[in-house]
This record gives sequence, structure tokens and C-alpha cells, in this order.
Amino acid sequence: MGTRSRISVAALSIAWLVAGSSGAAADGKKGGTEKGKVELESAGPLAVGPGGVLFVADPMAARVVAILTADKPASTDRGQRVEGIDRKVAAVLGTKSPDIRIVDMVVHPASGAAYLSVARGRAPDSPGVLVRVDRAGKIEAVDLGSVEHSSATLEDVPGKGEFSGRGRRKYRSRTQSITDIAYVDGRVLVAGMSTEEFASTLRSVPYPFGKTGRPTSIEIYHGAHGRFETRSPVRTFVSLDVGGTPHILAAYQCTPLVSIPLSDLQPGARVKGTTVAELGNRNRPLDMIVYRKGGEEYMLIANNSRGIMKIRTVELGKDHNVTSKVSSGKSEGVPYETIKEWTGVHQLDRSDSKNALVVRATDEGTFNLETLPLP
Amino acid sequence: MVFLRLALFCFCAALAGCGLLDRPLPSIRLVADPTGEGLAFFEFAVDRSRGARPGGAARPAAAVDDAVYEVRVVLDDADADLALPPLAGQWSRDGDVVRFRPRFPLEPGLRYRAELHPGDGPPIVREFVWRAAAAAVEAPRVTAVFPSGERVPANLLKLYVHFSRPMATGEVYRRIRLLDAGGDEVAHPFLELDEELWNRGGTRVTVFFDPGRVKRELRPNAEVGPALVAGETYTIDIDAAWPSADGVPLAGVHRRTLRVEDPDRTSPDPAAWSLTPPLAGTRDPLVLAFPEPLDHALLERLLWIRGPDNVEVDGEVRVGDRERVWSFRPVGSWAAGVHQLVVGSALEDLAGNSVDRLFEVEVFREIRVPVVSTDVSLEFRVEPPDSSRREP
Repeated sequence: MGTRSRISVAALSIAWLVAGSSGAAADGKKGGTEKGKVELESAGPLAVGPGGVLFVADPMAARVVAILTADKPASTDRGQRVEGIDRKVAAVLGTKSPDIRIVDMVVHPASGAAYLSVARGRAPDSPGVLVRVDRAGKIEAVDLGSVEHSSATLEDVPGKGEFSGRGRRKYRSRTQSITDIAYVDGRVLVAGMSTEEFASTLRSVPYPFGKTGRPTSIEIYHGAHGRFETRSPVRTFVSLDVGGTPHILAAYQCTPLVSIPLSDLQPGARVKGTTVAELGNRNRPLDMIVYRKGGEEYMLIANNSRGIMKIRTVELGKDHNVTSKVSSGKSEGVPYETIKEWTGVHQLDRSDSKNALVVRATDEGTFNLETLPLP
Repeated sequence: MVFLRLALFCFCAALAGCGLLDRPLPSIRLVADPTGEGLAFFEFAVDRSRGARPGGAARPAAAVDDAVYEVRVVLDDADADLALPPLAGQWSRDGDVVRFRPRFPLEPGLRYRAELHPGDGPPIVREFVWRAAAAAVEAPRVTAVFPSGERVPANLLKLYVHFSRPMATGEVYRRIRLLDAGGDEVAHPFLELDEELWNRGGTRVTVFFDPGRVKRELRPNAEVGPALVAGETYTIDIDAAWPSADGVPLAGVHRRTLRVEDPDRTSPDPAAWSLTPPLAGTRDPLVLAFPEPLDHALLERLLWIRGPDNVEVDGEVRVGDRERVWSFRPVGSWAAGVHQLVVGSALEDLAGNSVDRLFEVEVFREIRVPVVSTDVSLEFRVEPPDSSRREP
């Protein structure tokens, strides 16, 4: 699990953007990047890829930008702790904390710096700003005026303000929200949720970015208590090995936790996932990370109402298939431990082999950036 | 949509006047940049002849020369212990004047503190408030809630709330409430998403009922039951405190009644729709009537017409009669001949059952729906006005 692999809000009805046959655009020595200005129309999820490339999703522009950052190995092992991170980030951006929104956070594996994707403003289409917090806690609005970058457009959509209610033109208008991205095995997976249909899409874009092809669909079915789940969106997922083969473990909006072999996620495939647990009512997963401790692999799931859940990933390979009808009140399937001390976690990433970095709410209504030892 | 531009002006809340040249040096002033809303720069003037030396500020924001300069936001309610970092921006120097141009627009009503530590004398500190002039800002309104009919199935999947102006994010799940017949709030009826589902422009938000409570035999459904119960009456209550993106609350509370009927577990069937074709040479609307209300947004997006030349006909769509009628008026006159009404298979009814599949599939069995959904099309003939006499 060298790189962070996390996706939220994918869906059962999944569109898979097939890699263009021509492969990556190779007009530069750094994988098709160019030096220039990056403008983020909106703030979206973040991910880190090979060589420390930072992927930034821009939902309103329906694209993903890959930015080659200047991160170097950090000179200090000290983990970040920034009290009032929301207020301080807002101050750097010349505003106050109610007028920003921290959309996502990742830790850069080389420098250990945290990157925050921040919406500056309260409007749904407020512009996105990339904020960097170094290991010493220094906060900086990343200057995107001239950076090595490449980008991939996710769909054939009209330009800003170009949509109308007439005929088919509106059909092509943007109705997807990019909800998370992850780099997995040579491709960037981009998860979205429609603002209209109860279905979401997962697109796969080969990286380095090149031509992208026509979207085709993959559907992931999973049994849930005597019924067959068909359309629920996935909230969050990680990639990890289950029984020695790469899988994606997806937490659905309506609470089942489902494991799917990565090799099954082929264009046009109908995939049967295995429900390994049901997390319970109002248990909305926010983030998941995978790590090793004491020779064993664990997974943490941050969620909105039940603290942090810790799962031994070896359990995922055992037969916890949830097939019987649910009895109320109890979680079924894979056993887990609740880490009660980790309250109010809104953003979670692995900081290094021993620590996690979190953005967590305080009792005073502000947020702190904190380094916590992995449990 | 009306964009109300805020006329901005800055005023100096500091002790000194605004004339840079008339004042003793060093001095600080805030200069508005008329090229953009909220754009401005801070000007620090120092007397070079006296030779500024490094200042004593503990956290120098910028050491452009020997002096130390910085600009910070001042929060009225912040606890004093929280040292806020300086604003991001660009520093430049022009003779004895050092300029700071903030990267982001200044915010109306917010206080900014500029400090200059000349090194050879006491620091000077000026505070500025960037103020919006008294602009006539119209309060936002709820312009529509879909489905617009009162009668809804118990497995109603979503609501669309339309506003007259772009609204603030982060408010959806505390401002939209579901009340039962006794006026008590139904706890957590909606799927609460961090990624709120807004349209481009921020004037429509989609709210899904929690699918875990809608779907039978999932834990949320078993534990707390469905949010809507057939036979009951509910109110959608939209709180007047919900602000627009620029901070103006709604003009008033908005309420809608929902009368809940039995759940809908059947797909919309295009064969059951009634289509009234127009006459060739006219711009009369094509009218399509459905036996049940369908999804408002998808009706606007997923139905269209292909003409005899197999090209999409350009025109205007209207959805009416509580989302049970769809009509289409072409930009030009109807051509005579065979047309196709194309139905996107993702078109859903109020319960999320689409043309090609049900919201819930009942049993674990092979599912025959193709992975790549194909559109359905209904053929109709546009006749010349006198055709009825020839073809009775």
C-alpha cells in the first residue's frame, strides 16, 4: 500500500472511461506535462500518485489536474499540529473560516506536507485553492501561476454557461460531482455522483494522461440481506490486497461494505461484489486508510457518527459474506474495533508508517490538524 | 438570474488621513484597484534617507528591504492565542513605496491589519475595513420544489429545491427539514452528503432521501424504518435563515405538503404514454402525457425529438401538470414525416425506478439489463394539416 488509494462516492452503476489506444500524450520529458498556470474552477478531492505527483480534481471543470510539486524529503520527523487550521487557512486566503470549506486533505509522501483542497467562498461554484501545510505547520496558498502540470478532461461537456434547457444540449450539460479520486495501478480512478439520477460514475484515466476514450459502464452488484443491490452510490473505497489479490473495498451510501476484485473492473463488465459487513444506520464513512503495524495489516474507517473503526484486513479474506437477513441493531460480517478517542475526524490520511494526519473538529467548533499515532 | 454587484469602497479606519504624500513617513494606506471586485493593494511608504533597518516583528511576513511588513486578517471573535498567519499575496517595491497585493479579493466587512516595522523607530500599525456600500441586495427565494404535486410514493427518492439566487453551501441538511403531521421533525430523513449536489450556478440543490431507509431490509430501514410512511402527511420546511452565497437570508420560510401513498415499485413504461403529434408546418407543441409523475430534472434532459432527417429537432421543453406532461415546441415548423421521440433509459419516476430497471431488484438472479443502457425511441408521424381527410 505504497500510495494512498481512496475513492468516495462511486456507484453501482459505473461508467468506465476506456483508455485511449494511443496511450499517453508524450510531448514532454515529464510525462506530457507543461509549465503554466492552473486555474481551479472549483475545489475537489486530492490524491497522490507515482513520483509524488499530486492529482487535483476540479468538479466544475470536469477534469483532473496532475501537478508536479516541488516537495522534497522533509528534514524533520515532527508531525504537524495546527490548532484552528480552518481559521488559519482562511486568514491566509484573506477571509474568515465560515467562508472556506476544506474539501479534502492528503499527505505528500516525500515531504510529509499536507495538501488541502479548499473552496474559497460559500457558493457551490466557489473557486478552488490548493493549500500546503509543511511539517513545521507553515501554511501557504500554493501559487499555481507557473507549475509543471498535465490534465485530463473527463467528459465531453460544453463550456461554462453554455448549457440550455433545449433539447439534447442540456443532456450534455454537467451534472456530475467529482467526489473522489485515487491512483490505482497506472490509472486515476475518478468517482462522481450525479445531481439527478441516483447513480454515480467511476471513470478510469490512464496516467500519464493521454487521450481518453468513450465511457463504457461497469456495474457492481452485491447481495444484501436477501436482495440484490443495484444502484446505490459508493461513499468511499480503498484498494488493498484481499487473499493475496488486489481488491477494492467500497463502503456504500446505504451502509454495506463490499469487496470487489480489481481485475474484475473491466470496461463493460458486470461485477459481483461480496458484502463483507453492513456498517449500520447513519454510519457515513468519510475516509479510509490501510496500514501495517506489528506485522499485521489494518484498515481505519473514519465516519460521521461512530468514531473510527479499525479492521484487521486479513478478516476481509474470510467468509463474512452477509447473506442472511439483517437482525436489527447489530453490525454483521467483518469484526471491527471502535477507536473511541479519535472523535470528530473529518479528513484522514496516513502521515508516515507510524502516524496518521487528521483534520478533526474541536468542541469549540473549530478544526485542528493533528498527527496521531496509528492505533 | 440577476447578479447584484456589490459596490465596494474602502475606508480608512486608522487614525491618519488618506493622503500618502501629505503624511509624515512612514505611512500605510489601502488603495482600491478598480479592475476587479475586492481587489486592492496596501502601500507602505518609508523614508529611505533615514535608512530603515531590520524590524523587531517576531513573525516577519516579508522582508522586502531592511524593514518588515505584514498584512493580516483581524478576527473580532478570535481567541487572542491564535496567531493568524499573514495574507497570501505579492510584494513589490517601487522606490520608497512597498506594495502588497493580496492574492485573493478582500472581503466586505472584514478588518485587515497592516504593520510596518521600520527598524529605526516604533512600528506603525493601521487597520482597514473593506466595506460593501449600501447595496440593494434582494433576498433569495425558493422558486420551486419538485416533485411539485402533493401526492408522492412512500419510496420517494429525491427532492429538487430551486432558488432565485445562488445559495450558500454547508446548510442543506439543517435548513431543509421533514415534519410529520404533528409538526415534529423526522430525524435524518435525507442522505447527508459532504458533496452537496448543486447545479452549476448554485440555484438548484438535489436532496436524496436516505436510500438505506428507503430500501427494504437494509439495516437503517430495519433499525429506524422509512422516513415516509404511506397514508401519512408531511411538510417539507425550508428554514428562512438559509443565506445566499453572499450572505443574505431567504425572504421567508418555504413549506410544502407531501401526502404519502403506497410505494411505487414499477418502471415507467413508454408504451403507456399518450403522445399527441402536432401538424406539419406549425409550431404547435408536441404533447406527451404520463400516467404517473416523472422526475422533473430528467424530463428536461432525457427526452428529445429526432426529425425525419434523423437530426435532433431544436426547440423548447416544458414540463407541467405536476410532472405528468412534457411538451416540446420546435424553433422552426414541424416537418412532415416520421419522427422519433427518444427516451433516455435513465429517465426515472419519483421512486428512482428508471425506464430500464427498478430501484430495487428483488431477487438474486441473473440480470438481463444491458450494462450499456440503450435509449428507447417512440415513433410518431407528423402529418400535413389536411392528412386526416385522406387517411381517416
